[in-house]
Amino acid sequence: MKNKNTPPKFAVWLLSRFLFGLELSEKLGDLQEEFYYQQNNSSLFKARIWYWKQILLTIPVCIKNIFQWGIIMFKNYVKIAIRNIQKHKAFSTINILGLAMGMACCFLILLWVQDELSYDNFHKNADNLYRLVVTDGENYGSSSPWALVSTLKKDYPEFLKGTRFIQRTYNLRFGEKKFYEEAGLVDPEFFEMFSFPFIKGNPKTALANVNSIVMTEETAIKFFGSEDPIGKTITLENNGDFTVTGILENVPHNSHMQFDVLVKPAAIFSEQKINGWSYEGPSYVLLQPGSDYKKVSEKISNTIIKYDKRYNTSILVELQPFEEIYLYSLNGTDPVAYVYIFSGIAIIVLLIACINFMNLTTAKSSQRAKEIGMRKVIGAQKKDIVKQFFGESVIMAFVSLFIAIIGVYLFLPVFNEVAGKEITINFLSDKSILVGLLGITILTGIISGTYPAIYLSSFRPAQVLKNAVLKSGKKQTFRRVLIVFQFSAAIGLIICTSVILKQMEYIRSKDMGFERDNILRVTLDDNLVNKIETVKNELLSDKNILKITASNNLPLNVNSFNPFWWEGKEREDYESMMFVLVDPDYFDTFGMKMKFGRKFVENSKMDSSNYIINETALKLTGFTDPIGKKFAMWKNEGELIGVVENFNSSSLHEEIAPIAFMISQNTYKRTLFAKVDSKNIPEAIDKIEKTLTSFSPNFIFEYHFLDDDFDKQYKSESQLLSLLKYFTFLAILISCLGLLGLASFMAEQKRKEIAIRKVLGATVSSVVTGLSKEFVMLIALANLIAWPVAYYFMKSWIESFSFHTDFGFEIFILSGVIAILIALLTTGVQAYNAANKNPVDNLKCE
Amino acid sequence: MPLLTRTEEIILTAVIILKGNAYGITIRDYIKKVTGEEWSFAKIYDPLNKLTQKEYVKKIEGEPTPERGGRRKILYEITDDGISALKEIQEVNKTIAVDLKNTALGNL
Repeated sequence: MKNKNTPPKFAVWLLSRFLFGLELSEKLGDLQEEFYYQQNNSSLFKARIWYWKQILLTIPVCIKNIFQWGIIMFKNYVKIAIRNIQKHKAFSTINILGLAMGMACCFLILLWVQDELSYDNFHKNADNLYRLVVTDGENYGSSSPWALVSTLKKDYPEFLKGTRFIQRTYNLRFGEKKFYEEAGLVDPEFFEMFSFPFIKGNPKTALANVNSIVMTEETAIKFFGSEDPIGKTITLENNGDFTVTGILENVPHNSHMQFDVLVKPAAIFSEQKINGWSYEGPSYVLLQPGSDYKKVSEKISNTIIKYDKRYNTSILVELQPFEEIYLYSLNGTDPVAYVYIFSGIAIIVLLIACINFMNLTTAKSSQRAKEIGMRKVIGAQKKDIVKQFFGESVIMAFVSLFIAIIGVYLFLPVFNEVAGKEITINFLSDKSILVGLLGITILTGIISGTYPAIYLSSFRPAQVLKNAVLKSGKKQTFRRVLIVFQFSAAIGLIICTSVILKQMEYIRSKDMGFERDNILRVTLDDNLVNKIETVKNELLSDKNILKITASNNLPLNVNSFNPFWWEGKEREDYESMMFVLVDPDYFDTFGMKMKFGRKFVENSKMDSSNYIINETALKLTGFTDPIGKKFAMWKNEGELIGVVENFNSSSLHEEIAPIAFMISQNTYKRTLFAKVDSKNIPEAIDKIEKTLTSFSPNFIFEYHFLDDDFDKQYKSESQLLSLLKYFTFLAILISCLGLLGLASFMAEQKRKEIAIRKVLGATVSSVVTGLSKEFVMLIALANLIAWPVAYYFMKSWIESFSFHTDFGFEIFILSGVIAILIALLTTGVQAYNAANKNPVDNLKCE
Repeated sequence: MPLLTRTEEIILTAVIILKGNAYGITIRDYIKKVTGEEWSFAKIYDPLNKLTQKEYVKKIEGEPTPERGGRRKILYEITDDGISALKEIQEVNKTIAVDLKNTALGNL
């Protein structure tokens, strides 16, 4: 040993990554011996090169070797896992079924969340698209002035393109066919901004002419069947004939902009109107890529103030990123909250299923103790046992995955119905679903395998092989903790569902301040609007039609803000209020009561510039004696003649807004409301249809009941509720499955104890009590944890409604009692079976 | 059991010849002697692993020595199975040799 130079350390370390123990020291030893020999014969440098070469050549051999052994062991693990599944069929069924249900739940929610998040992201320019919104500092509105887009494009170079998108329902006619279609009034740049692909026609020229119309494929087929629609002429209500110049692919369901046909605004409205500053609908812009929209937003905020000189407005312009439109509402609760809620539920349900798996596997551990002992004696290390049990739980997870996928396919139509979605699964086209499924499966395997793997691998071979009884107080405690957690989650879900149910019931039955039963809503066309007085008189002559009125707005959905001035304020100092145009008979039809003053007088010119306001508006003005005070919207000055009692004009999430009413000229009253006799509804509808079509032959009669409209406002909540109901049910079911498994296992283990007790004179009922007592105690404890957590969440949810019910302690008690009863039933049946067996059979075996 | 490969045959022979001192270095030296080629260690370990799996050789732990950096030697010893496998291939070799001699090539 002349030279003390050692082999390259890094190479040694590298090899030690692939080999262990004796194998490693053999190779390193051989190599080092040869290394010194080489070093003495040639140079140190050459020896090092040689050493490196040897190491690099050895590593592939090692890897190959590891794989060979790995595959052999893996085959063994799979074999043992399958044998175990087969040996305990009932047990494995519970285990796999529980996991499969949890996973199926999780996948459905994943699909729902993915669908929610996919809204509007199919546009190529989505990152640079924005909607223009206006705000008075407090409330936001999505309608922007007609002239805003063109003004912004002219003034700021950041605005590349822009379009207005006004949605209107029109009656379209082609020959004998006539349908109501959703029309979008857009500027030609619409097609350059959004990715609604053309099937036929040229996007550049499609809307070049005022009388051009572009329609979706679905609409084209409805009107023209299999004929080529291009060049066909179609009539749009009273706005003349339009030539079809383009066919678009159907609008995807995950687009917040929905339309059947597209025309230019100029086709419907006058030049003066579409270049003015009145509000009609939303506008969208495409910004220069890379612009900071917040900065641009700041720059443009004063645009309306600068140009709209009609009154001293304080309305600011802002940009809203396009992809946020669906998930974040301008006012009130953001729908994205539901995405979080449901993701949370998915995780909880999956956790409950995983806990089942953990509990059942560890409970069964005594039966696998000998196997583990043998493996350890033969030379398995702790990490090998851990690997084995992880492997087993991942295999179980994949079996569950298979069942879960079948379940998801079976239940998807029901789910779509409940959630109001059109979700389809296509594994081939959507890689993210595939990745998500695999991810969840492996995660499930790992979560549910961790505890059993760590627990089982810690068995001491000498003890388990000597058949020492497993003294496992710690194991029991942990299992109890898991059960408590599981049931806390389930009880929490029951409580939340009950509170939400109660709130929805409250809303449904809440006195809105106006009547909505047996009121029909019909949208009129221009012919009818022009003859509205005659139409009304004709209809009122029928005895089944009790009251009738026309307005520009549903009382449910008042959303146009306007500036108001009243006596005692500085001139030009405006405050915004909602504004509704009504007939004199509006208040009667909806059963609204006057607080002060009088209603509008029928057929009289004298009220044409007078106002009625609601109680909130009265509070805003601060008048103690409002009647006769001067009041003005913009510059239309008149007098206050009455105050109507408050009614809920929009969502119950919001406070009642200040509203001012004015008698309308006919042109604005496009909606007819008719209160009909509840005993003769079909006759009344028939009469209305006949009357309306006699006045306007091309009119398409469609009606809605006002209470249906009302329910629709709470659609997202009621969908949330029914989804929540199903998931709560599933969570309880999965929890009970686990409890069932545990109870049957315990009854099995304690069968000798039970037999001896019975021999000594115990009754069946005392045995059942003894077996169920522990579970009931645990679930009682789970209640104590679930209550405060559920209370906290429900308190904040229910307070997001301006009008909400209170939830008392009874919901909590009831949910707890339900959970305990279900648990008692599950464990009780098992305990009863065990207790009813003949003690002789149990004592004589072995 | 499939026949031994040529490499395995040479290594088994080396293990027999080296009698109780057969480990990485000595086996490699023997191969150099008979074939004239310098094999990498990887080329020796791979067949040695296979032979161990087939239980034709068994491993014996040797003493640690200073020139090995204090690491133990693994000595290889042939088993009865190994001997019979070697005999089998020897039979084949002999038959091939006789057959070859009877052809034109054999007279070269």
